[in-house]
Amino acid sequence: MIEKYLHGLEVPKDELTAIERTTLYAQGKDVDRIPASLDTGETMAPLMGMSIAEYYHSSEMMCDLEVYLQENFHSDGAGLSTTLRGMAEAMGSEIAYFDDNISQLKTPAIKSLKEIDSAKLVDVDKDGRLPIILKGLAMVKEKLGKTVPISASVTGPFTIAAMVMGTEKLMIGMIKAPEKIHQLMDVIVENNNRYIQRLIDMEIGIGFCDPVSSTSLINEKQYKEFSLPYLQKNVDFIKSQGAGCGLHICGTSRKIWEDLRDTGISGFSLDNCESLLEAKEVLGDKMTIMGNVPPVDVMRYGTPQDVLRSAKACIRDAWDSPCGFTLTSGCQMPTGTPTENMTALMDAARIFGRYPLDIDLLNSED
Amino acid sequence: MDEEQLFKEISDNVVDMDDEAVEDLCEQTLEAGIDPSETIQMGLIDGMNRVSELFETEEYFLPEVMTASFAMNAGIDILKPHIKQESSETPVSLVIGVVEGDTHDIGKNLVKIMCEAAGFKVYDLGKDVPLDSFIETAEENNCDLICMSTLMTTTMEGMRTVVNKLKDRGIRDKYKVMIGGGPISQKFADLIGADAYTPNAHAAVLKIKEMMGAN
Repeated sequence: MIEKYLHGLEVPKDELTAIERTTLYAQGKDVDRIPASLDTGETMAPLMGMSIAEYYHSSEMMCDLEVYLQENFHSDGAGLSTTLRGMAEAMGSEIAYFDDNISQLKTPAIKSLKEIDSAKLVDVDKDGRLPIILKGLAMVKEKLGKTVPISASVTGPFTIAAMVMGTEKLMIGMIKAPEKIHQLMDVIVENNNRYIQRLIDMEIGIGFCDPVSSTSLINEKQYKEFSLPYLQKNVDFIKSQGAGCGLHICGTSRKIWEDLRDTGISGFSLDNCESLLEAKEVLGDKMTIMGNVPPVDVMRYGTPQDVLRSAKACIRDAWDSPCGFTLTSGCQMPTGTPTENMTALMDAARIFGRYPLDIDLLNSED
Repeated sequence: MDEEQLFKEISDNVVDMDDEAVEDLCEQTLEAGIDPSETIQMGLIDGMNRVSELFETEEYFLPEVMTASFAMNAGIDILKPHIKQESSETPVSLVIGVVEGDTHDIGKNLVKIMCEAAGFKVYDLGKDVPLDSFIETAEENNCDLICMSTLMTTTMEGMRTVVNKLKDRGIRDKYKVMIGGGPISQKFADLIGADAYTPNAHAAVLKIKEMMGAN
């Protein structure tokens, strides 16, 4: 635990539960501080001495880790991710698991464009790890759901396609046989909807993670042809049932922000390589902005003081975003992130995000 | 078509990402008795260089580069068996790979494609490369650089291990070490004592030229 930060900064105690805070904040009502959430998941399994491979295959371990993280860090959210490969695995991709590393795509389900004709519709109660994750989510919801918002991370359709075909094959397919890629995307949309239906039934929040849609990989035109229309189908499916969802894109994404404005997405979480200030201006009147302390340079390799400095800059840039702001890291925190730094991120919201905001403190050097 | 026209057609079809046309044209150069090394240089590599420029100006993105590279390689596969003798020039040479424990190789492949288009000799070790292999391959082939990539934080420390192994063997100064990948930064490069961090494939080629003092 951190006894005291530099310059005698005090850490005011939280006065609301996470669910009270996030609910009131979303309604535009007064709260104790700016919401903050830790982007955790399987990379934190080693904190409890768990093998990451075993964690992936045990609903109980998934739930235990969420409870542990909540008890120790009090993030304004808890939940489980399908991982970027979960749906692809259910569709037949072979995934490699490791005790000390996150899983990786080993063999894609679809090895040639022809095989797209036999792309598989999944059974969320049977295929891959989906039933394990759904059971884990039900357990987390029961354990923590009274005080903490529970959400599930779902993979964006285009990223699923990359994990089903291999990214290079997908990229070449977009040029050589666009109609086949569209055919595959339709199957993926249906599979995602089947999974999403369960989440809605359990009243669990939904956040899409879609790194392969980054403009680091494809251009805006390709995004609008191969990725966005299918994400939109999932979003529409969610909204038609009165629920909402967020989106995270790793890497660059600035050029597609205008396209996101009217999707109906209620929150956008940006990578640390993009600007919160700009996101506030372009997207802030349409959705909550979330971000974006650097997960590697600051969270993993920095000091608690570095975390405070970076988090303060984030709050300074985005606290007044019209539809709200949530402090978090620019992507999932890596394995080996010091627990002091995780505490410091939450404390930054308590210190610098305390209402009424102390603007002089926010603007102070260091 | 004369030689120059054929080269231009091949170059154009690499840019247009048409692998079948590239294959046909490469066959024609062989029938016409044109030196396959010339065809590779003046046709295929020329086309890929233009693709690099289009990538740099963001007219082309990864899908186009990957597909153009596929077309270029289709041409090289046809020509290579007919090359009589490797040229005696010694271009800048480098070993490249994704470090042990990681299989994400798109970024590495992109750097490799751009390096080959720039005329460097590339020893590609692929993905999930045992750390010692970087050093062994560099030693065996007298490489100038060791280039390592990873997308994962759990494997980035492997880069530090390679740098330290080079130091332990007293051969650190023989090589420039360049690193890249999603979680990598200049800060991390400084931390582990790498010579360079580059954020993308184009920057990688420029940095290699700068470090090697080539054009």
